[in-house]
Amino acid sequence: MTSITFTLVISAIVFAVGTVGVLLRRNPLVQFMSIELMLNAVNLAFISFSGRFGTSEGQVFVLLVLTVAAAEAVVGLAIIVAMFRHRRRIDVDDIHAMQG
Amino acid sequence: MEQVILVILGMLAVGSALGVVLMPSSIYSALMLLFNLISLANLFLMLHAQFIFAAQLLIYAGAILVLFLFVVTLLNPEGEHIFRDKRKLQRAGALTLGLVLLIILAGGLIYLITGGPSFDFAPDKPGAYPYGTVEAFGAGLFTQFLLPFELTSLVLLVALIGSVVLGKRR
Amino acid sequence: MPEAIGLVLLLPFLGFLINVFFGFQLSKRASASVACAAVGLAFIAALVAALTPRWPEGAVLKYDWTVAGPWRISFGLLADPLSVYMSLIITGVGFLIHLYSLGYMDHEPDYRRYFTYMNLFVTAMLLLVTSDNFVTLLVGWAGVGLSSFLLIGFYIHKPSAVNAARKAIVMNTIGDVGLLLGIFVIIANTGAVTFVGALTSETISQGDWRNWAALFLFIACAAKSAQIPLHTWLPDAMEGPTPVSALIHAATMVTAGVYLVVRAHPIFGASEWAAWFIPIIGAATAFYAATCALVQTDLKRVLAYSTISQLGYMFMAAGIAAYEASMFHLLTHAFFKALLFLAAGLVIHSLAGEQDMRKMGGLRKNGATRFAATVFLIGALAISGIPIFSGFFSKEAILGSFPLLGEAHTLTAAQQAAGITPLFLTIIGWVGVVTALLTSFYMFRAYFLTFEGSPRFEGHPHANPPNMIVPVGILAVLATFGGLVAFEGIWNSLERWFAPTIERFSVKGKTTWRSIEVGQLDLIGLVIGIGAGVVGIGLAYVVFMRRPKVTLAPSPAEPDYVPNYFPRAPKKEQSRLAQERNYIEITKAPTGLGIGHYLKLGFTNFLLYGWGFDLLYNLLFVWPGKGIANLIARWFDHEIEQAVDVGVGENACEVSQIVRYTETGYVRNYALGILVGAVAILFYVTVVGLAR
Repeated sequence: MTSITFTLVISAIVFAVGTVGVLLRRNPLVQFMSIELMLNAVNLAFISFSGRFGTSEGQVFVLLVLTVAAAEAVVGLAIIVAMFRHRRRIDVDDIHAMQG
Repeated sequence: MEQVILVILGMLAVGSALGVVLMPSSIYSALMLLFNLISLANLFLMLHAQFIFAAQLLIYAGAILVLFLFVVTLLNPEGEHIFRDKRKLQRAGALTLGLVLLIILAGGLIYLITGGPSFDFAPDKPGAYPYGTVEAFGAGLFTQFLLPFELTSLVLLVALIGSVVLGKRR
Repeated sequence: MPEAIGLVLLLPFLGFLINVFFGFQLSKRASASVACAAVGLAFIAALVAALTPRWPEGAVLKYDWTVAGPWRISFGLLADPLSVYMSLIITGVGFLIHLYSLGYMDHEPDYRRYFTYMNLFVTAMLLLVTSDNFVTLLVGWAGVGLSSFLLIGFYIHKPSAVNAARKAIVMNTIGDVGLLLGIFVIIANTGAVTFVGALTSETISQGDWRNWAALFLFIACAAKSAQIPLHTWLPDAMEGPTPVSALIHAATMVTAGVYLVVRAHPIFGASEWAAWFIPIIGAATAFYAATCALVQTDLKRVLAYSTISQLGYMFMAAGIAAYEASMFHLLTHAFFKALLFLAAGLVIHSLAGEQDMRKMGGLRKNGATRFAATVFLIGALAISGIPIFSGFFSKEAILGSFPLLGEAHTLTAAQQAAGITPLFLTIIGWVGVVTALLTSFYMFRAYFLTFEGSPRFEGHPHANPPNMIVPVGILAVLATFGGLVAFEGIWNSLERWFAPTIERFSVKGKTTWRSIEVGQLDLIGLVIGIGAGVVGIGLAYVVFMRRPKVTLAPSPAEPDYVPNYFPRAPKKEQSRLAQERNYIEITKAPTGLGIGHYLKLGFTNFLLYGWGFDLLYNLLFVWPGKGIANLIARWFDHEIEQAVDVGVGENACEVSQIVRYTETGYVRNYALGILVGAVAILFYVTVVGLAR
């Protein structure tokens, strides 16, 4: 098992764990952290493939992912704060106004 | 020696990821996320991506995580027990699908790397700089990927304006 | 410096942008100043561009706009004598009219909107004349149509103005389609969109396509320049503010068709069909509009029909390849017609909006309108072709290019191929002479009715502010002496001026351009031309001054129709359909005169209503369309609605009752749904894709 295979498996595991976290947790903060986990897992896969092929495209992509992740975190946290201000309680299951 | 460090870092990453999801209190989740980020950053270093290692530490561990911690302490949410979920179907579905996803991803990737059809994504022409150096990274970023790089500034600007609008008290 | 042409286009656009985005923050005065300064500076830039010692070969300022494989359209500006000549007219006359608008529009509430539209118009018009290819020409072409639509309908609370605007944009759209088709034909046959590439292509002399291209392009020209049969919008366009009529519907936009014929002269000049239809349509329009102008009672409508007539003149000249004469008349017409409109605007402003000549008269003796009388007289003398005034030179140049007395005349190759005889040109020329006579008659009829005789107006005319007087004064000077520019030594002979354009757009060294020596006319031509003008003035004097009891035709009858400016407040019990019907009632066209109106009227009214073209179009297009629409609304819609509404509605209701249980409203459930899809796709990609 080469080191790249190993890191790819690690990235797969972390990604799956992050996915389950988004679906299981009711706290939007932790859901966001889980999304960060997923993004990081993807970053790891990018770096691994980049190392395997010896080109820096994968690394460039990771930088772009980092930026988008930062933007996403900022907006997401602002939404959570706004939500908290409105309801004094943060639980995603409290919001189901779209129920049919 | 290198293999041993790699395995330890991988275990740390997986363990801390599980911690993020399983910790009842969100402050512990945030700390676990910090562990995860640092171990992943070290994995990047092991894979010869020095610049990404530094960027990961600065941006993720430095900036984003602090933001998370700040919001956690500001809102001070109560803890929750994920295994006392009222929506049983959701929990069962999430766990099953997560497992399927893990198997497909890991299996597919291992198959792809080891026994799969040999594919050749080797660069058309080798870069001017050796792989992993900041020079090689910068040359890629500022020549071939200049437009996406500039566009990220737009993304950041929009996010900035959006968060200001959201954060404003009406 | 040919690069200055970029500034010419950019400055009005900047003015437009500033007024659009910051206009509501600027003061009224500042917003108008921005608009005026933008056009004024553009004029200076155009002057700088005109002082070029040597014209550049290709387009200046060019970048790739649309790239489709090997085929590309670039956005380029053409700096050549023709485009600079047009830019000078547009920015120069445009600047004066902007200045005039400061005073004229002063009491309007929508001051900024007006100047925003005006800058938009100037930008679009400059794009039209400076673009180096057919596609950006089309952009400008549609842009002037849009801004003309906006400005005709400037008084948005006046139903007649809104309807006039609608009529204008419908007619202009017909022209736009023609232009589009023409461009398709050109691209398909030459493979180039740039003027230089397409018009110097050697395929022009091969096959029949140049005839089709000329036909389609001329549809566009006829719509934009109000030639028969697409002219009906221009008289109604006088619903817009008077400076708009002066700038758009007299001096610049309506001449775009003439510009296009001159710009694409290798196609028009080589086409056998165009050799027939352009002079015929031009002469017919000139004569037709002159007869209509004889009986109009609205001062601005007289000028509108006069504009159509003069445009017909330009097309007559352009149709027999006398492009210089055409462009020269375009220039002088811009001066004197803008002057006439602005003078009419002075009168209308003084009389607080009165446009009916039957309620004017004797205004020359009134202190407030004496200046208007003087400048209107100058304009009328110029359009009548009295010597020294600018119109004399250009009209003589046009008449002089026809063999009026059957003298020897060299035909172009296309004319010979089309079988045109000198006799045909003689007839066309004499139509022009008769039109000249009619022109001076109706113009002095307007002058005598408005300014001479006994006063028939109510109230006291008030004086006009100096910022209206000064631009009119400058235009009066230009209308008087502007014709002298065509003489060697004063500016340039037009032949020398246009020479670079002629050379560039010649196919294999051959040109279809017939140059006219302005100012070297034979004596008989002079006598005929001046005679027509003098006889017309004399007749008008006899009819309207010596026997002032001549009865005037009634004004164009508005149907018995009281416009409801504001829709009724929507009532609860009123259905949405009823509300829509209500809306349609309110905006229904008041121009739809019935057959009865025409039947009970005599010859005068036949002319007054423009030979009944509106009725014809109503009969041919509007009423059948309305009838079919009504039929569908009454029968088809009703039945189908019953079937579809009830049937589909109930079924949809039942299905959605079941489906709604999937909508739990919980974000996590939706995320799970996404994951199901993602895993399914991944499964397919890995297991199925890799197994293959």
